[in-house]
Formats: sequence, C-alpha cells, structure tokens
Amino acid sequence: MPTRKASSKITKEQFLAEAMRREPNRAKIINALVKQLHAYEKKYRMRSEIFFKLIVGTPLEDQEDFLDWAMCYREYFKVFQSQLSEENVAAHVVG
Amino acid sequence: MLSDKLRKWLISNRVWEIYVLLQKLPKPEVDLVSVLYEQIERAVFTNALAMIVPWPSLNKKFLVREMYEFPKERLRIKYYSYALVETGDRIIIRADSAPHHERDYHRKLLTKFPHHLHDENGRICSFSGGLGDFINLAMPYL
Repeated sequence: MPTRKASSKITKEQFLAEAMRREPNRAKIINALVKQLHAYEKKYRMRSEIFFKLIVGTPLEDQEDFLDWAMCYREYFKVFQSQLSEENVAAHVVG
Repeated sequence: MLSDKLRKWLISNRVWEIYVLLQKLPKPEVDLVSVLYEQIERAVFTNALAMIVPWPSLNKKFLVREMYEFPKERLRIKYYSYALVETGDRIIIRADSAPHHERDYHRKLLTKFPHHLHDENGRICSFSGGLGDFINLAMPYL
C-alpha cells in the first residue's frame, strides 16, 4: 500500500547540483521521441505530420492521446532543430 | 539570448517545484528523483517535460506535461496538461490550457481562460492553471 511521504530525502541544493552536473544525451532523447511518434502513427494509422496539420489547433486535439502526440511532435522538432546547427541529421526522419 | 546553462537552471528549479508538489500524493512506486533528472535532460533539448508518476498497486498514474518558453530570462509555462489516469488509460480528471473551451458546463465563462478542467464526468470546469491545485483535486482519488 502506498504511503504518504513525510518529507523529501534530498535537499533542493543537492537536487539542483546533481541536475546541473549531468550531461544530457541528445541521441537517446531523439530515439525516445521517434519511438513515441511511431507508436501513435501505428495506433491511429496516420503520419505525425498529417496529424499535426489536421488535428492540432482544432477541438479534436482536446483528447489525451492527441495532446500527448502533439506535444511529442513539437518536442521532436525542437530537439531536431537544435541538432541541425551542430550536425547532419538526415538519418533522423520520422515516418 | 538565454544561455543553455541558465535555461537548464530554470528548468531544474521548475522540476524541483514539481517534486515538492508531488510529495502531497502517495509515494510513487518508482525512483521519482531519477525520473526527474531524466526529465530535466530531455527538457534541455525540447523545452518540455512529459513525466509519468505511476502507482501500479493502485492502478493509477499521474501525468504531468509542460512546455516552456523563456521570456526575459524567466521560465514561463507556455502549455500544460495534467491528468490522473487509471488502468486502461481511462482519464479520471484532466486539466490543460488548450484554448478549445470558453465556457464551463453551466455555460458560464471560464474564470481563467484558457485553463480548464475535465472533471470525472468529462464536464468542462474552470481551473486556476496551477499544478498544486490540480494535485489537490486529484488527492481524493488516490
């Protein structure tokens, strides 16, 4: 049975210090996003770019899966965009 | 232009705030701190957070999604979606800032448009937009 935690075991200073020390892995993040996008594409039989054009910004977007899919797609482009300036990313194409 | 280091610092501070707020809920059945570090790493590239706090023994999970922007060297939540979900991905309650509703289910204007809540019956209600308030609403279901 879950219990309610009385207090946190880590201090804010410790948490922030560790967070700042860590080096994020961009490739791992891109792979995770692509995997998520592919899962939605398979579930709804629609490519992410089509979904984004047709659904996002309309009332249909207001469903759990679609909100997540749209955000995932935005995230993908954000990380993809940040990588473009650093290296060739031709291999990372969703679809 | 905001430096990557400052952006990471702002994101980490927001994630700490989320961590503190989540302490009100039952203890997650995962190493929450590790999950949060992974989220910070992801958000550094994506400006977004998408985390799941699961309680398999309760057949429930809590979803926190936030997308950030950084005007004037500050973090602002551009968009969010918070949800309490049970097994089978049935949404119990959800709140978000997608601007698709202007009125609640009584046809009254939302008090803080675009923030709104989908209550347990799927009805649209006014909502403050705060994660803390959403957690207070979710607590009775956990």
